[in-house]
Amino acid sequence: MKSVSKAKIGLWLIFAFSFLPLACHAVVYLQEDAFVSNSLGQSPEDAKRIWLRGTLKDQVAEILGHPYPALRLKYWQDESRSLWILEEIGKERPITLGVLVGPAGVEQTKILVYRESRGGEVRFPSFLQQFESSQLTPDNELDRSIDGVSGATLSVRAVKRLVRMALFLHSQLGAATSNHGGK
Amino acid sequence: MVASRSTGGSSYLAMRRFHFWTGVVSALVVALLTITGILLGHSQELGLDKRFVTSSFLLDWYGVRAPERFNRFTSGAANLVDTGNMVLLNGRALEAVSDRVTGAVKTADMLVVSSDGQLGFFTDQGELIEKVQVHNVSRIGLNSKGLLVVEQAAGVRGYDLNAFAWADLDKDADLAGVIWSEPERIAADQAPEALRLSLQNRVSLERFLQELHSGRIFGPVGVWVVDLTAIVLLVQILSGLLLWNTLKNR
Repeated sequence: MKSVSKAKIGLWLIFAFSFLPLACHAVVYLQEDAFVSNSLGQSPEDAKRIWLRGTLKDQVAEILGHPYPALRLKYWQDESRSLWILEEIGKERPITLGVLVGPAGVEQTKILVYRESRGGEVRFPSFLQQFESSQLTPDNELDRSIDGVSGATLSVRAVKRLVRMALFLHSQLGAATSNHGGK
Repeated sequence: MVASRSTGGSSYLAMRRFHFWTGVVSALVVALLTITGILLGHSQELGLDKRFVTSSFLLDWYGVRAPERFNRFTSGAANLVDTGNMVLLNGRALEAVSDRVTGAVKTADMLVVSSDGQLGFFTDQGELIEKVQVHNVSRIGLNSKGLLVVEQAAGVRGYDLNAFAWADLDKDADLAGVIWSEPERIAADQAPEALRLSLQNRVSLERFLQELHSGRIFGPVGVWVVDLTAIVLLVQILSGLLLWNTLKNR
């Protein structure tokens, strides 16, 4: 009987403590500096800048469904590849995503910072690997279907939009670049 | 014959009781799932993502509470208020800053705002130019040469606002006469607009309904209850079919 009572108390305690308010926190999975260095072998000071204005701004807004909340973007570039660190709101908080784009499409994607309380499964390679070698279609959509993650629908959509944006920006380099700052 | 009839009868009654009581127990959850499911199915038409919870009880449940004091940073014409869950520049939300503000410095052509995880560079109108990821910024300031000085846990660094790059810092020359940005702690009612904005539009109706529908609003146990109800409904399909079949064959 005592063990049954203890079990009941234990169950009630678990029941009571499980009614917790939802909490949000930012988790930094990879520093920007480290992503730039590991992916492209460059330092953050090698960044170039591209201004989001005119048709470039409009086309990015079309991809995201809203204007990108910055006037310009930093990116890193070598002979054939470009690296972008972009942010997009998943459900309520921004997700920071690093995207390395090469001649054959996306080479690497990494969730750098995740701030939502749920849906962080999008950081796992099993999801992000789907983007490797992806490219844009003529109407700026991804050339493949991406399997979602249960319980992370909005985060998945945000990541897809950012990958499309990175691919688009890569395709625009040379047409609208502005080298400002850096070494 | 009598034995098999009584066995069949008692099984039927047991099944019927089971079907009845599982239905009763799960009815409330099923009703909730039905109503929230229908609403969520028409979320866009109803504009549920653009309508927000205003109930103070629910906002409390989500941890959205009216702060008592704010941090205010004043630099030149820039008046920046950090309410703890929102940052406003001259009365307008500065959405690019989502962490605790540690400093705000106004130069001739931009506003620099430091927070726990970044340095943000803004136009006078609050448009984000770009941001730099940087950690544990405890305060920022400007020296007499216009060099941004950034104090972190690991030490002090300089940031060249013309080149948008970290700069070497001569601790003797560059740190003399630095004007540091310091917060002023004010009562929330001294910034009524900031207080009002910090409480509204925090939890959308869509989010609330999604969490009610999944049971997440009640934590992990809520999710388990919804999962269990779903299993009960599946089992009820079977028990319902068995009951119907038994009646049909009588």
